[in-house]
Amino acid sequence: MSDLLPFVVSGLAVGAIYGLAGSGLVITYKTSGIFNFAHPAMAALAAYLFYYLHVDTTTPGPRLAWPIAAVISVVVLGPVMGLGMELIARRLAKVATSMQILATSGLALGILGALGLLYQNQTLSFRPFLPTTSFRVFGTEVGYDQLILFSFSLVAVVGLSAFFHATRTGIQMRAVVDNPPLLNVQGTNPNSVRRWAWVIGASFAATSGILLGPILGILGAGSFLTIVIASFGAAAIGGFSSLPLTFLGGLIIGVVGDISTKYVLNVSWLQGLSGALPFIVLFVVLIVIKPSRLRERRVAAPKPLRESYHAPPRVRLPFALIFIGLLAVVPNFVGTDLSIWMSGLTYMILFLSLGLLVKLSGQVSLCQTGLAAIGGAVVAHASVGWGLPWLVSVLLAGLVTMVVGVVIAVPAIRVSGVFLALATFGFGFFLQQMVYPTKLMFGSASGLAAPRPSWASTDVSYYYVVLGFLVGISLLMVALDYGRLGRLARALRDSPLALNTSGTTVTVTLVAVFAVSAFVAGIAGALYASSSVVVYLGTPLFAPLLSLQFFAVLMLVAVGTPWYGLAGGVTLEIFPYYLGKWLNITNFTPYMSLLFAVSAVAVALTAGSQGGVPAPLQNFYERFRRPRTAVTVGTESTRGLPVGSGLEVKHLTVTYGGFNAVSSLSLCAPFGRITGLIGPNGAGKTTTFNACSGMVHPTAGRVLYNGVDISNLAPAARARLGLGRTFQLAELWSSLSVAENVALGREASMAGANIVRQLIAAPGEPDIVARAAAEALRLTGTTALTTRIVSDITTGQRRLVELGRVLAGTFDVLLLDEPSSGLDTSETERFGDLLRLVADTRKIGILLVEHDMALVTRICDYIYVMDFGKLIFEGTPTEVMASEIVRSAYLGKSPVDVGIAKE
Amino acid sequence: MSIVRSRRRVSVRAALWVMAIPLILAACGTTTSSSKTTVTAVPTLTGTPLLIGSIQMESGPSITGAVTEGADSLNAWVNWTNAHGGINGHPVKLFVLDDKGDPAVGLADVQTLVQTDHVIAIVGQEAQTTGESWAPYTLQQRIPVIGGYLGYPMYFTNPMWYPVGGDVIANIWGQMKSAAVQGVKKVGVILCTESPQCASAQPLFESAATAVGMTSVYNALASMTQVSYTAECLAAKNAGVQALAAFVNTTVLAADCARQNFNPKWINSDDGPTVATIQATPALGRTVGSSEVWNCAGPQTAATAAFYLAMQQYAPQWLVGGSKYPQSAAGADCASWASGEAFKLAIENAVVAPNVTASNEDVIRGLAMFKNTMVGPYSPPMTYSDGSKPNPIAKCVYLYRYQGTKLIPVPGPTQYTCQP
Repeated sequence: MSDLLPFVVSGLAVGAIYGLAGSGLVITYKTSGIFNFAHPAMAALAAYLFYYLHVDTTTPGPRLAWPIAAVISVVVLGPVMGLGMELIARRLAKVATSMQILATSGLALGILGALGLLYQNQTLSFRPFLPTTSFRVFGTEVGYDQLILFSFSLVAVVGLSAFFHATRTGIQMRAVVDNPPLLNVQGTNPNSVRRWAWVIGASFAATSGILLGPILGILGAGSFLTIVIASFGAAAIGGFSSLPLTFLGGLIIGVVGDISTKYVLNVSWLQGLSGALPFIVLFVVLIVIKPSRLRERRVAAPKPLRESYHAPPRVRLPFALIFIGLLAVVPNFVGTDLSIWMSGLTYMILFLSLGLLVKLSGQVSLCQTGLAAIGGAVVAHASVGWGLPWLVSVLLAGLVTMVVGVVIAVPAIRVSGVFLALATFGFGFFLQQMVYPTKLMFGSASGLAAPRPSWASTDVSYYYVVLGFLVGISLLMVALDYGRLGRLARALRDSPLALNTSGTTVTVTLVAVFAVSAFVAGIAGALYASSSVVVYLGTPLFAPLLSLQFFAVLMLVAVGTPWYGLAGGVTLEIFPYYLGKWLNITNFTPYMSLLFAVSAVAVALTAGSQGGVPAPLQNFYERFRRPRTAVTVGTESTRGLPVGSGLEVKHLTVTYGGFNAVSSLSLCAPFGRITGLIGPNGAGKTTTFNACSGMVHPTAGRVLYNGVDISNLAPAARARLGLGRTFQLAELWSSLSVAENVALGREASMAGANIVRQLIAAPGEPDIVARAAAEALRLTGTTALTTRIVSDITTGQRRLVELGRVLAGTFDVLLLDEPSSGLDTSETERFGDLLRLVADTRKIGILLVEHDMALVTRICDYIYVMDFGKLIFEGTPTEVMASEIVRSAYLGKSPVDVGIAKE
Repeated sequence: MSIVRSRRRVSVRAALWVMAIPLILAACGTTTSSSKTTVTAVPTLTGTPLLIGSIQMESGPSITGAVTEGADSLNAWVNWTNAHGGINGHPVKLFVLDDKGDPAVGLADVQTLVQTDHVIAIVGQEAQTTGESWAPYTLQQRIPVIGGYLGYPMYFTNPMWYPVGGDVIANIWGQMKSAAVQGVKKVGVILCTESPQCASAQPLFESAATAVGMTSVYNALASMTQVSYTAECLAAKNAGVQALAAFVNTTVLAADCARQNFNPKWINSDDGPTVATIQATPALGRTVGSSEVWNCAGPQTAATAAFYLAMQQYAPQWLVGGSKYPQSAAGADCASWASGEAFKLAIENAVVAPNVTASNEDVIRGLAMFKNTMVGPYSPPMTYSDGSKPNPIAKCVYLYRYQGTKLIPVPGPTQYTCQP
């Protein structure tokens, strides 16, 4: 055991810094709901300032003593950075998570760019400023610097935890995310509280940066960033919430990482383990931790992102031909710069792959360059090592990468938003640290040869090969965009819940988009490898941090498929090359990073108002759009009347942490009947709905559909059986049109759980969907809204669209959760008539949770009354109205007068 | 972003160097942009200009490092040469392009140099990661690549690549020899795991140690990205290692070993750690090593005065006391100067009249006349082929030891040592 002590000592010192940096990150995330990807860059900035003040001998002026330099770097720079971040974060509170990631990652790139400009990318030697002598403890040398570092970090984190729990400001910081208005009412400005949190968080980042210096011995912004990013792993162990656990997580990562070096001393493929450990931890924690523990903290609901403008095909096609033509003549004009254009085309393909995830599906993936690296390595191994033909090798590269893409879909199934971004970010670093150096991938600093095909070995001929791939993949992306997977992906982006309960198994959709995206990324990597002729572990395109840049650029270009690919490739590879050349700036990269930073923050802060194509131009383009074909009107001749017993709930009990939300409830909702489910606030009505539709698992009891136990079926499977539902707060696909929302009500169940059916519609299905949607639009009176984007319509209209969606579907039992809220009196009356109509003519069973008792008593055939999770009465509306039990449940008032509050 | 590359440029270079060994062995057995720096010909020289190019890794997202040392010293050589009559009356015009560590940019660079700038040779390249992508083009166009970063196997596989210095295998022997001459008997080797090729160089170090009369008592692999090398330090200490050849992050390694009261001599390649690195980690002041190219970090002699005078005049920032001197490492300036002088000798050999425009074939012809020819005091004897086959391997290297921050050539300045 004593032989482990040196590693424990060393690991505790490093781990304490992980913990310190992670704690700073957690405090800002807890209080602002914004995960600061710029946190590591802020640490680097402080370290560089410290270097400048204390070490740098190349600049004029005397050097400061280290305590003064440290105070300036932490006590001055830290708060300045924190105040600046608070100003930005306040404006980011209401934007989508992807925009928040864009802003903070843009800031990180900007800080790196600034450091690159100031220090010309030099690696600087960081002189130790803490005592390097040591003392012996149980035969192990313990450095005074290690002791100071650990003790300081421990005291800082313990002090912060105590501050959180024992002081008024600390308690306010804890409360600020949970209920800012309440804090405001109590006379405390939430912004002021958050400002303190940012100042503390940024100062922690600055401190960790300065303390890392002596450990690394050398200062390079990139290495700094990687080490501090490792603190994300510590924050993950702390559930991005607990400061003590985050610090403990840092210590665990530090100690285990150090001890691992002892045991893997001569196992070459495991040598990168200690460096990769934080990223492995980050990835694993995010795929094993309960998703409920990873609920995103948000100060305010995000404004939905407006979808990029899609011009009419009659405009898009000529533009496409013009661009292809322009790209085709590039070799005639660019001379020796052709290799840049070749590389640029592969960037475009990689952007297309990322766009499928980010733009279309709303999945923030930050490991796309890692996937490209896999493609690059595979094509090199396959074409040289295994002697496969080049085209086969490229295809194989895509397929192998696709398998990895499916692995990445695992966290996407469990988490989304910032946590998915973190999981994929960690995965990218894991690849670089542990897999790139092995024989599986590059295995040589000199690189792997990745020859071009013998039939296109010259630059010009190979350029046309890459262009051919670009055109083909662009067509594929446009087809996916317009096809079923595109519709499902958009729905997934806006509301996975609604998609799931409409009959599409979202897991399959996620796997499909990740797989297709990874396949294309692998192809891009393979083409890049062959354009460069050689690939190695340091190939610029394969750097994990570049994924952040790809994401940032993609978010900046507000145009549709496949134009964002074109724009991205030009922005990231071609434009900087020529700009740098024309401006005669040797190292243009830092300037580009600064430009990205400014653009990223500006775009993120104005998110929601972006449209990409100016409105006048959109209006002009719209003149070329063909009038939409009139929707087919009429009832579906193929739809038969349901037969069976409908929905039955038997002795249902749902318990949350010891609290019985529903207790032994039994009810039935047969076909052709409108069944009311009423009760006061907290009675358990929505929980019952959730249990019926599969969103919560019953603690006891069963849910039967036509006599078959469906208690263990997933929501999508229940929907496909015929169980449709609406939500208390309408769950619509906000960026889609009314017609698309309603049509997906039918198409979602057609896509089902079959990956092929999710990719392509079967013959005849589009007609069925169109007819079903037309009828539902007519029934709900929303035909006039067909082309309106859902985010632009009123709450009442949203209710009707949501109802239209379930009416378009093949649902025989509808669970309607307060469907009339937001409707005026006349709308409510028509709404009631409609429900009565579909129940009578289609023989659909309806289970209705509703607060409008007049509506309930008018249209319901039978009513169940719940209170405190239990069934207290059931009967006809007349019986319910007359019941003393029901009266007493409603505080003695006449049931007719009672408005049942929302749960 | 690769931490491997951002830790310390000299480590990167050393690691790249050692990683190239097996490829060379095999050969023996069988966004962003480029911009240019030009040095205009001196008006008093009336001969046609000699157009040369150089590709340098000065920037890029995946690397941080010393950046302009090679280009600055190459510029100094051009200015100095032009100020001293040019070459056979020809002024030299230099085009420098930054490859940013990006193979696509590297290929574009060399094509620009050849097709647009019409250079007749690539001199003193420091394109440490992109050479493989543009080497075939130089062969196809018959553009000689003279000296520079010698870690590439192309110097011994591609007929157009001409080394100005020893090969990496001889340099392994040299590193062991540098420790042996300091009385070291037991040696340890820690190689990077960033590639199996790096790891597979272990037998070479072992046999070289034996050849110079030492015993290799500790061999290990470690990652350049580790933040702690406590395990390696303790194992080496327990094995009785007196000198440790380490191709990992030696700054962290030396500090960790010192903490465990283990202070061996450090064996390095190229010209060792930077002054700033030694100042930050004084334990590295006990470094010994060997370099393929002459050590310009050593004291000046009468024979090498031109280099120091030129640097003093045109690139003083890289000399002792200069603003960038603490970061100067990896021998890029030494290699640049030696490469320029080799080019000069080739042109002189080819005897191109001042009014005649020199071509790449003239350079190749001039280089083919190197038969055990020394490039003044700047190289060991070099022999080149006629451009139809790869060049023979040079087995002579330059040994050194450090005394604090001062490099001391062994046995003396500009004196090389040849592998038996």
